[in-house]
Amino acid sequence: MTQQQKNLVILAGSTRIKGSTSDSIGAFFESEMKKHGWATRRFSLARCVRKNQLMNEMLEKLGQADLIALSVPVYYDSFPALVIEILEALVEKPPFQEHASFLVISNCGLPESLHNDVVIAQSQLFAEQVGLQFAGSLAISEGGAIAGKPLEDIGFLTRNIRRGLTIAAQSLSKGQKIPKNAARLAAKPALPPWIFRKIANRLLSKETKRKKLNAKARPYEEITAGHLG
Amino acid sequence: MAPLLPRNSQQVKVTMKAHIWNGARTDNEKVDHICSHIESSLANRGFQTQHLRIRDLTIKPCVGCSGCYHTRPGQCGIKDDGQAFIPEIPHQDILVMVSRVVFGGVSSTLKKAIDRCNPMTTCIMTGKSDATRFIGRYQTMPKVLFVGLLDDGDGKEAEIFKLFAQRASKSLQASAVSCALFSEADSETIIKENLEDLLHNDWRMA
Repeated sequence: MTQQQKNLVILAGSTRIKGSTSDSIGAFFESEMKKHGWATRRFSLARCVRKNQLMNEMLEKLGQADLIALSVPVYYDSFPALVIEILEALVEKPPFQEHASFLVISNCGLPESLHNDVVIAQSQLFAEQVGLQFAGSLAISEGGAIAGKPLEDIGFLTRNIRRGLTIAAQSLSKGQKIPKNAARLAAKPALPPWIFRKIANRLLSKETKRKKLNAKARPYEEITAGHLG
Repeated sequence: MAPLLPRNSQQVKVTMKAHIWNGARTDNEKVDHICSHIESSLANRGFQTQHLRIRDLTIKPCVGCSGCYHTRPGQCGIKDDGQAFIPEIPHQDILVMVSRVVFGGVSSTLKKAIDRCNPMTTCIMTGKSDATRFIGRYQTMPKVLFVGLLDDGDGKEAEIFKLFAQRASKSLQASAVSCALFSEADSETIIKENLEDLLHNDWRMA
């Protein structure tokens, strides 16, 4: 008996049109799910808001999806405004099938996965509000190290993320939620936070020296009589 | 920690400043009324206030270009109405953010404005206690009050909103943070009274 093909829609929630960490993560996850026979479509939300045709196509595919994955960056500890706008619209007019599931892969630039906490919680709320089954979450840190490159090309820095995504894809393909070991792996930073901070700060210092910039510039500083300081 | 507002308004010797960021998506929402209460309450105490109806402004989303870190440190390159109020942020004593609670956070309208606050931060990282943060750019930053309006007082959304307020205030480099939640069912009198109490209470360090 042939198994009915399952449809996956991946939404990349970066505000960048191309070359985003969310895109790279979404692309790797897509390739893993394809190995398990899923039919996939990946949409950039930043592109969809600019083109009506693409937005309509996305809505149509969401209506056919068995699984929806949101790959999203953390902006000020929560969803970027663009993502909230799309999700607000989806709550007003949900296109989803009754049995469809939803998962989130959140990424932040800082070296602790806890910065994804609010996004994960927001995703669960969204799923509840539109009647989707919540299939789990992955919270990724040190996203700046990816910067739009394919995960496979980055080497050991994305090893844990790739392993987490691979395990997640296996479980989801069996109809299960993202398991704890996948979430734990993906959340494990490649570099200890103190090393990540040192390297990031050193790279910034080199770059600003090269460009003759002041990284701590205060262009809006102005001492006015009316301001308590 | 001393209350934000001195109980005797005659003690205010200099003009304090406040921004009220109204995150209502449409006109005539209860959010508008809450903002108006806050505006008049602060004005009665001698604050110079600015009530920004974000929905009426042209604010494009942050595109994550990092230009405010790597190209023109402290300045956003997007030319829109954001250029009018973002530079004012370090000069405010209070920043009030008002919105319906959406997925436990703020509306897309308000979040567009918040996402554009990156110029207030450097991208130099520091490890404080258990969480890395970016170092702020300015010596003084406003106290931030988050006011959320819940549809039905759902417990889960309220808890997530408080967590969001706590975390986002640190990212915004707020000098202190406070958070208030109201329900659609709350009367204007209750909202007014609670806001008055809140503005007189001690604020927590962000």
